[in-house]
Amino acid sequence: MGDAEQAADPPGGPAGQRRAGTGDGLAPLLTRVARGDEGAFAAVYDATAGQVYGVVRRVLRDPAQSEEVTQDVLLEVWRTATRFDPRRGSGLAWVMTMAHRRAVDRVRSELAATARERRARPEGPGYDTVTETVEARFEAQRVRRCLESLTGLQRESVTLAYYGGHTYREVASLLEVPVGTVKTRMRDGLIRLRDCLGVDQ
Amino acid sequence: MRLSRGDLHTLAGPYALDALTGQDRDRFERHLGRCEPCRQEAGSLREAAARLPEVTVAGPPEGLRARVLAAAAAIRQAPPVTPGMGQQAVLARRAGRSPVLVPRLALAVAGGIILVLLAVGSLAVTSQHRAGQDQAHSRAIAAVMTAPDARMVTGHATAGGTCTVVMSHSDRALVLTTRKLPRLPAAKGYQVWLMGPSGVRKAGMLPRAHQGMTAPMVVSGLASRDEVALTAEPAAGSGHPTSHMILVLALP
Repeated sequence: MGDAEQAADPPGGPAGQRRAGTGDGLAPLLTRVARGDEGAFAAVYDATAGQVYGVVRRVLRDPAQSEEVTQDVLLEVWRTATRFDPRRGSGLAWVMTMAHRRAVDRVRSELAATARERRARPEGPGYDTVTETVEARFEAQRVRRCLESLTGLQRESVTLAYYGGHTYREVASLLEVPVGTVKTRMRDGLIRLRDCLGVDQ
Repeated sequence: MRLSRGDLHTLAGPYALDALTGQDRDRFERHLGRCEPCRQEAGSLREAAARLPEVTVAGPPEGLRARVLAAAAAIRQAPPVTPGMGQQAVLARRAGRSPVLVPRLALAVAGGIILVLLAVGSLAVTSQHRAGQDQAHSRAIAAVMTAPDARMVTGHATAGGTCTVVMSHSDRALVLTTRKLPRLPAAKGYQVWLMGPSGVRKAGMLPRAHQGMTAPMVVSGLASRDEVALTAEPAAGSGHPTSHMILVLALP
């Protein structure tokens, strides 16, 4: 949310462009995109496409659908950058929220019914992923380490919902625990993750 | 089943993970509208969730970048939220379900046409080197393809090949591309016609095909009950059709 917090985590060095996606170097870029700057949009693409495609693909599994949704999301970033408000959250959260929502909306739509049946049983975050830079790898390791600091049930609740695209009721059923328990584990888990990553406002 | 206030509060977690659906999500969003601390918390949990994709980073498919950048150049941006649009601002943040979204079909159609454009190699040129006229052309294409009533129709020509039309009655325009129509001698070209109850109107010459495909052309002045027709004519065009219609495409 707060830019001040993220300003303490400056982009730097040759990997600066990639870092724009992890700190809030993205906010000034989005402001330029809002004014129709196609060059800034290309930079936003470079800073976020790997994360957008990666998470969409993790949720949807199907490569063709994932590509289509990724394209939809990035064009929506272009189209609605005019409505991005840095006071309400980081650019990264704005883009990733859009990406993740699109992916789960697709999962929950009838369109995806067949593809969904083909989906493998959800699993936790994979480790077979592409990381382009040392800093990106560092970020990924940091997130992984923080995920490991969650209790087992917190972690499973968070990852089944996020990477698996499941509703909290579905997660409760998968984990065979009451829905009330899952709700609180998701919240507690995210609070712990937030504090561990230092992304609170 | 009515959720108690305490229950509502714990929904911040599922909400930040997009694990709420339908009524639960609507109810929680209404609650956020009334509860500033809850909004703060939900926002901070979103920030945490937004770091989860760091772990699943994957290289996007080749060609996606060029396609997205080219498509963006032809898409008009939404007007910004201005003071007094508070509620709409909240709605706009509900990405994915916002009523102002370009219809998915239209975007998918746009994607398809953009693919054609890229195959022809013309759009890259358009968006980077030429200005003015071609920009207007791109915008006209985007206007049709992103119209809420955009529809796509494909027809087969009698001598082989296909013609694809994306049309919008509200825009009174259509975008037309063809694939694999028979080659014509240099002195000839394909002419497009609109045929309506009041007669046949000239709609322009089809551009020369590259690798079997023609770059999209925009035809305006579409009227209801029009059909699209193609004939082979002298390269400069004719005032009225002088050969057989090789294709007649009824429009929805």
